[in-house]
Amino acid sequence: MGTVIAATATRQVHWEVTGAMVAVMYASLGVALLVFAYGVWRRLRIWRLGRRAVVWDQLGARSRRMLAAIAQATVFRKFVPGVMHALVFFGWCVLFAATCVVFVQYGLGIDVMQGGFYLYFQSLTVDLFGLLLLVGLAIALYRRYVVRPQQLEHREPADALLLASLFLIVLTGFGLEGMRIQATGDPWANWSPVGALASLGVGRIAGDASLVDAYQSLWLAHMLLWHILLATIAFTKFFHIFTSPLNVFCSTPGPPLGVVAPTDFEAEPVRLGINAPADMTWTQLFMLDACTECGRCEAVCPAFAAGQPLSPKRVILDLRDAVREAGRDAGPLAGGVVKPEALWACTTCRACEEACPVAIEHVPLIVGLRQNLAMEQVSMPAGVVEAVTSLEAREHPFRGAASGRTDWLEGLVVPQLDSIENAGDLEVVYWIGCAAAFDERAQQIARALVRVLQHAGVRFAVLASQERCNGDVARRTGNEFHYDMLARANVETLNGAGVTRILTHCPHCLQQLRHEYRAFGGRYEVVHHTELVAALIEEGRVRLAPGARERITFHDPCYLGRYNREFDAPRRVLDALQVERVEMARSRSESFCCGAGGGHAFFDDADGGEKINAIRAREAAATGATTVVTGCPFCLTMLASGARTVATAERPLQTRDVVELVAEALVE
Amino acid sequence: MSVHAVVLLKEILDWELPPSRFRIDPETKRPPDGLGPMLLGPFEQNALELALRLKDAGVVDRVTALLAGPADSVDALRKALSVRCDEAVHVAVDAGGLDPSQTAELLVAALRRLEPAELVLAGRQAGDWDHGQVGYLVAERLGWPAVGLVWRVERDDGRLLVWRSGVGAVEQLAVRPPAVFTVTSHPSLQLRLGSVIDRMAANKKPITRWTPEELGLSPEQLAGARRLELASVWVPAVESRCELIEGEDPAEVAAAVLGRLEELKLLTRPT
Amino acid sequence: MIVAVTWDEPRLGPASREVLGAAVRLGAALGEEVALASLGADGSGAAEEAGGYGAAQAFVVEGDHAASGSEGAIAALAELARDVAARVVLLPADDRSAELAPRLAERLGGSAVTHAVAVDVSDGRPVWTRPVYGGKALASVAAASEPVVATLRRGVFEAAQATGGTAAVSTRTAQNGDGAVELLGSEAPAAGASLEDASVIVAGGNGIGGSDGFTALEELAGLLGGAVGASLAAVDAGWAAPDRQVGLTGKTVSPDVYFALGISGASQHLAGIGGAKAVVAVNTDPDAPIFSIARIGVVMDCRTFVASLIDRLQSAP
Repeated sequence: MGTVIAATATRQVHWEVTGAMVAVMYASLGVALLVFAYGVWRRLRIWRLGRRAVVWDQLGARSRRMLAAIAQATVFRKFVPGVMHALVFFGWCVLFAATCVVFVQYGLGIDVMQGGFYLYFQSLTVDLFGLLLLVGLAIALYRRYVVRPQQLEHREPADALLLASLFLIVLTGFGLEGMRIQATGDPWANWSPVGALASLGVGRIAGDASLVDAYQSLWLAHMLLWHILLATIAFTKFFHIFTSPLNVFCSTPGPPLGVVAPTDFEAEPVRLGINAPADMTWTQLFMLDACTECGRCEAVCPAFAAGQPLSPKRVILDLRDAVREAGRDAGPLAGGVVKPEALWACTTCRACEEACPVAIEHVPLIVGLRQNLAMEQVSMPAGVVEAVTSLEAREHPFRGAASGRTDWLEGLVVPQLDSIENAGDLEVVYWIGCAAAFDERAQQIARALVRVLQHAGVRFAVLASQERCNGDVARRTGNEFHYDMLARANVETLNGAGVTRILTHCPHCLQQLRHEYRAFGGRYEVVHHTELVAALIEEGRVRLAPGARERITFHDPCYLGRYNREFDAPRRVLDALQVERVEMARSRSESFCCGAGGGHAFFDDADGGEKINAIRAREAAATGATTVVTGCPFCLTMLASGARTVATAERPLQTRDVVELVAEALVE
Repeated sequence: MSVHAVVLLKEILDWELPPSRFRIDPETKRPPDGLGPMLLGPFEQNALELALRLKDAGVVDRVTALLAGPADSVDALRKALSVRCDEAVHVAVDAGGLDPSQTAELLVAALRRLEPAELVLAGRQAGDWDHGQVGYLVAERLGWPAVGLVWRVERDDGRLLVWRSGVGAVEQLAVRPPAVFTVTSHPSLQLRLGSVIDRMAANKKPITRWTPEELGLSPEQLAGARRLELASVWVPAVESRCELIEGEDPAEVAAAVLGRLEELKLLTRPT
Repeated sequence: MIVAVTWDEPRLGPASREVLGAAVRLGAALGEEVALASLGADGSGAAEEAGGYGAAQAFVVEGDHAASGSEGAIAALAELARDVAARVVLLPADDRSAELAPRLAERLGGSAVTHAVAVDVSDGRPVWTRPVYGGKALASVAAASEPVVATLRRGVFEAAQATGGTAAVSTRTAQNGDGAVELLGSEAPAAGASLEDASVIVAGGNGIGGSDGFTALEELAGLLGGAVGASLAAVDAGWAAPDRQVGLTGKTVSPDVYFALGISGASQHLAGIGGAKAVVAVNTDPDAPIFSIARIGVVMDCRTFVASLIDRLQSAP
């Protein structure tokens, strides 16, 4: 390679490309763009079926997330697919840029393809990225057809066609480059290493034969193939090029996460959940088109792992296909396109959303479909009917409890809010929740927390009998009508008592009180007990004498971790207790659900494979921990149940709440 | 020809009220107001669910919910409307003071004013007084056959086939309507939740309201229908009813347990 | 006359002797004689013995009463009650008399008192004690008109004592009903049938210790004619199938007897057994919550108890 970069370094653009061929190219491009526009218009018609949604708030956060996604940050959560996609994506970007440069040069007549730019970018960089693109495609083909991970669709011929087409385009591009270099004796050939290599091959194959005819045919083929791909973008998975980044922009940027939109029961006619495309928001219809069928959601779904008939990927794709086929008339969606068993198997854990590289929000869709099943079709599992009937009659979902909400307080000296003179003096109001009131194991969490609060001298009070169920179980099972009654009543009670700061040990109560009650006029500062205890320890208000150094692993509750992004406080508490803390493979934002969410604490699914809680307990035991610690009363129950399945006499597995360990370590 | 069924409803104090909170006011001989929610009774729920299933199956065409009780027990009628009863009728009276015979008298008077029914469904007993008489008394005064403890009904030409709980057996009978069935609990008879549309509509539907006088029962006549006099009601002293059976020899303890169960007539064994 | 009614009893069994005992004591307090009415198949045996336990008369009512539901029995008893000018008719409280008693009382123009657990005489008339509010309270009631047809809770009244007397036995024939009700068939539920229908449930929890423990429970259930249940703990441990689970996320049951063997009594489990008439709790921990709701308690290893119970049931005549 010469060391002199001549300002004259360039190449002939459109070598041996006749005017007729160029005309064909523009004509074909015109047709392709028209078809492309038609395809987009078809999609647009479907998106417009949806209800309005707000995507212009939090512009900064939305933009940052979109740019991060474009920079491949979300794809790289899985390394190999991340590498593969980055190679293809950036390779394609560079090649597309190169084509644009040619257009500027030839079509607009601006002389840019010369000198350093020509050599370093248009030749070297483009060649390298073209090669990387091929490598990326090869990885993709290998992964899809040799490794065959379960989460990928295997029987779609379109997938193979798309990969093959891209591969061909790049190959033919290199072929053309090789031919040109060989035929023109390009002095700068070595700046296009792949092209140079190709030209050697071309020389060996063609000898001295005239390359012009072959070149022209290949050029047309290359061009047509690319135009076909372009035209069909809106009809293939490649549409995600546009829809995926835009979907990241449109999706919920951050906490509050997973908030269900309230139903307006005064509307005429009232809309009860989702059963037709028109019931979805335009963003929900849009997100169906953002799916790249990568299957990461399915791979992390706890219900799917337990052999239940739910695949988040299938929910999205079945809805997408139904809506594309039948448009406005698609349906019935709830129970028809998406089967009831699939909908009821969901624990609303949001692992699917967390894993999705294009920020699809599966859970609100599932809950919306459940709303229609529950409120309009009145079709739900018996356990849900019982829990909701109990909510209706007694304002708690624990049927058969035969105990009062405040029975557990007998014998404890706990200040009650209505006996406090000045509520403003309190640091927090401790919201007990139904689990601690009606379930003995959960009661122990409350007792332990009360001990810690009293030890630390925290000025607190409880609402006692004025509490009623926060309504989460009704909302997550689609029973918005019952939820609405409970939420409004609770907000009235809390606002009437002048409550502003609330402490809870239950992440479901946390989610409701902190975020979802806002829509009903409830604005409270809500703190989870692990957050408060961590702060108390760090402020020195709690004196601890750590006990035996046990090996412990922390299970992140879904509604504390994924929903409310609190991963650290419980760990800080455990570290203050000086335990040997180990992490499960799936922890923090990748935590594997305990199986209680979405109402499942009150009903069991039909037999599938190993139950969700057993899978998680097994995972906990595999860390070698003798105790799995969590911060949610439902996780506690589920993990205890799962532990019984996997624990043995030699390898026992205890289940505790974080605050129970703290209470035991208090130095009075 | 439209087949009409009537379901007899009653609201009672929440039967899952914790025993520690249960009290009787010696003056009124009833629990004081506000101890807990007033709910449609469990066997009445079963009866209502059975009526709705019969409507779903086409065994009956119309279902009327009938309740004799105080004004606020109308909630139970709203519940019935929310699960698609066609009509709701309220006989306004303070039911707490009435005995089964008086209640039956009111219900019979109401039934005579309603469109003729082929079937009357009642809970096997109301969870407050636990008499278990009203359904049968209604049948006798209407001159209709009655079958008790039914959980399943099908139509067979002009007759109704019923499955009911007998003594140690499940009996199947054929009944010529009109008839009264009392309904017992069964897994298939968990009362459905109404759709939200139906629930909201139920709040606006009219409920027919009659007083005893309008039904032709003067206070004297109603008083005269009384068959039981309530002397007093009390909550027995709460002792743990658990009878501990102790002994060193497991064989003796086992025998003692069996014996006690037989004495309590909870286990029937060939003797 | 006080009439005590028995049904399908070839001999005067313990159930009948309780009703007869109550009749005799009531008769003594009211100055009335006692008659026994025996219905159903082979009723003569019971009628013959009645005299030996304090009855002055005994009637055998022949005919297939069950064929017409309760119609035939009600008609027969009504006629008999009128003939002997009965002031009180006593029946055992069961699924048959639940329907029969109120209708009989109405036919006789009298009053029905159901589920009586005690009877006293005050001012020359019977005053009955009966449970109300699901057993949370007791009520004292008196009939406003006679005759009174009362159903007596089993296991509460003292059985009649042998007197060595005799009674005149006569036979009557029941009339058939008008055919409005016809019995088509009856079948006893199979042992090991569904938990919801079972009248006896033998349920195992943590204390059972393993699947072999549950095999023993199957045997016990078979001997008792009941079904096998399990706590969530036992199902989790894989000792019992999920469809056996009783509790908040399992089945709700209402048997006559619920054996809670090695079950601690967590509220989650208790949510499913509220309908049980009596719980027999067997647990090594005397503080287990299950004892607070049990009718009979045994502090013992449940496996030992189960083995002893099986022995006893197999060896008893």
